[in-house]
Amino acid sequence: MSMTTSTRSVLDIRDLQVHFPVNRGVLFIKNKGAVKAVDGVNLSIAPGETVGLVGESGSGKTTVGRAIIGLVKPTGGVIEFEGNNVLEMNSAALRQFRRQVGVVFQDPYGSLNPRMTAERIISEPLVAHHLFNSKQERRARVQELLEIVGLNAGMASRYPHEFSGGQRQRIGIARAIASDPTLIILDEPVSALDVSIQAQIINLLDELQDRLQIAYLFIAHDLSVVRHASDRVAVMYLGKLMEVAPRDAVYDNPLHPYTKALLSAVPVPDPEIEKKRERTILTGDIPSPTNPPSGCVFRTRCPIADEACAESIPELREVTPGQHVACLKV
Amino acid sequence: MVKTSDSVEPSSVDTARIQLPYWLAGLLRHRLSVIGGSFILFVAFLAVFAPLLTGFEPTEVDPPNRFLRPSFEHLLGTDYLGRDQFTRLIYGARISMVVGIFSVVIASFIGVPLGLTAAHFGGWTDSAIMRFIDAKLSIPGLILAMMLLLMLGGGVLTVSIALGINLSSAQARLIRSQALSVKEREYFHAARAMGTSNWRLILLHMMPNSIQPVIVQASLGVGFAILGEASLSFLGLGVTPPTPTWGNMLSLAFQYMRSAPYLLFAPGVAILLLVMSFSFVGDGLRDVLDPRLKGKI
Ligand SMILES: Nc1ncnc2c1ncn2[C@@H]1O[C@H](COP(=O)(O)OP(=O)(O)O)[C@@H](O)[C@H]1O
Ligand code: SF4
Ligand SMILES: [Mg+2]
Repeated sequence: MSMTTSTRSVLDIRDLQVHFPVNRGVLFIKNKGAVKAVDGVNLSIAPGETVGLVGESGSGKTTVGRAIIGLVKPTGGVIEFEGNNVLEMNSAALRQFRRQVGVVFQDPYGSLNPRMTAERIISEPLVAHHLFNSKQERRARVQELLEIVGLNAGMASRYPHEFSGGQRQRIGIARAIASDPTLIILDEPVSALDVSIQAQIINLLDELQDRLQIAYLFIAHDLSVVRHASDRVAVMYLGKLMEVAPRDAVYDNPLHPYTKALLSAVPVPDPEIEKKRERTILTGDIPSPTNPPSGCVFRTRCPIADEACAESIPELREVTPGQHVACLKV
Repeated sequence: MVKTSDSVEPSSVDTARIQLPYWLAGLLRHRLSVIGGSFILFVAFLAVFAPLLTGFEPTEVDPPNRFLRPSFEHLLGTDYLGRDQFTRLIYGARISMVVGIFSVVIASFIGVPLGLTAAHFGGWTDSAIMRFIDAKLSIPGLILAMMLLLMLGGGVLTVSIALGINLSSAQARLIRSQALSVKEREYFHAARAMGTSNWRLILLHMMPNSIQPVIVQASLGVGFAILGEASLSFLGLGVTPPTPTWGNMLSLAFQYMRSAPYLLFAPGVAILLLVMSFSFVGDGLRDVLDPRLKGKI
């Protein structure tokens, strides 16, 4: 598979696997298989690009993000950051890598330490990476960051509970950009916010990207959220990518049955089109990643599945330029 | 510059802050805590100013005046050596308070680092620490105290160490379980992902967010330690006589229960009230500090 040449990307993930062991028994630990949270994912992100990573809850998106930032250890595959394998970096390189990769989490309540002021939260990456070493310099940087994300410099001494959900997410974003990263993992950054606030945060992320040239991996559980922000969209199901394509191809000409199903769940603004369009309704639940279906993992819910789908595993193939689909029938 | 911002959502606290720390303000609203706290302060006052409050020495014997009933001269009477019981009570308060507080401080200084280390590093570090604690728990507290007292002699510090070691297992378990839940929080993940050192992770993220129940348990533990000192005194394992403690006063009083039953009253009631006071304050702290009862921190 060659989606982009690895030299031009910030991040290049090849055949990433994250299997969590399922252990039973206390005295004699028996390995009863594994949760295949991520099972052979290939994805690359170009500098300044936004890649939307979309799929139902449980499809493994968070695990991909956590593997990239080193919170879980992959059981296989390669994660390359600017051409260097993250999994084989020495501690100095790893430090540099951590400085260049930021993360924003879903929960604006859980992602800020309730015992720290906004100033200390935002200066954490500065302290960790010995940036802006004097107290005054650091304070000035924090105030600058607060203003960049649309808060007042005067709010620096407040604690998280003194902010609204949207403001907290802004603080999380300020922390993520503090050390001048080239890539930010956004794990459902707006899913926990009111709809009215969601657009503000997405706009903020957009503006920051234009200004600071940061690449985003934007994780979301439905296609509507990432539509405007993404350059490309990757659709994930049960640990595997089903379709990876430029944004317009995904929304105007989805090829994978799962992408079509996800799109059906997104309302179309025009009521005429909404009435006429054919719908694929997803029924049932996502199967357990401990025991995924044979062949194509989507086959138990796929409206056009047949016997062949139980036999062979579809690989991602480039079907139209830039549009990669993993389906035997496309 | 990006336009601000969530004007529809007011931020929860804005105007002038309350001057008192919130836990103190909350505690003052908790009636039993106020009563308990006042009694503790009263006992502390007696203990600190003991020499000014009495004309006798706590170890001053006066055999002709033994077993005197309470009177104006001897407010609480005298014991079998003619020592003034009130004097011994307020001097004894020093020992009981000091033993109570030392024990808990020692327990926390042992238990908190062990619990945090176990939680943070997990794996075999965790197993080793928790096994060690289990092993220690399987030695009854009394045996442990006896061993220490035989090795170190029966001073205030020995008794506090013995009781402190005993209490430390509970502190370690408590903070470990809290810390394990902190470890799952996203702010902890965020800090780890940005390369924050283990040291800072533990001190700045894990400890401040898991220490509250330890504080509550500590205030309950003071009462436990005061009782513990009393029980050790009964077995002759407490602070060595003639230094007065509430525990050894009570155990002496039991020996002369027939001839001078009134001697039981003062140390008995004092222990009871002080233990109750610490548990009231502990309960109050729990209500004030417990985020589930109080809403979000
Ligand atoms: N630490 C873990 N141990 C075991 N299973 C896990 C762990 N983390 C995630 N999983 C499992 O991996 C699957 C994918 O989870 P996740 O990456 O959170 O999906 P998503 O973010 O798409 O909702 C789920 O079935 C989840 O239960
Ligand atoms: S391979 Fe078969 S089951 Fe899988 S998506 Fe294509 S048609 Fe459906
Ligand atoms: Mg997720």
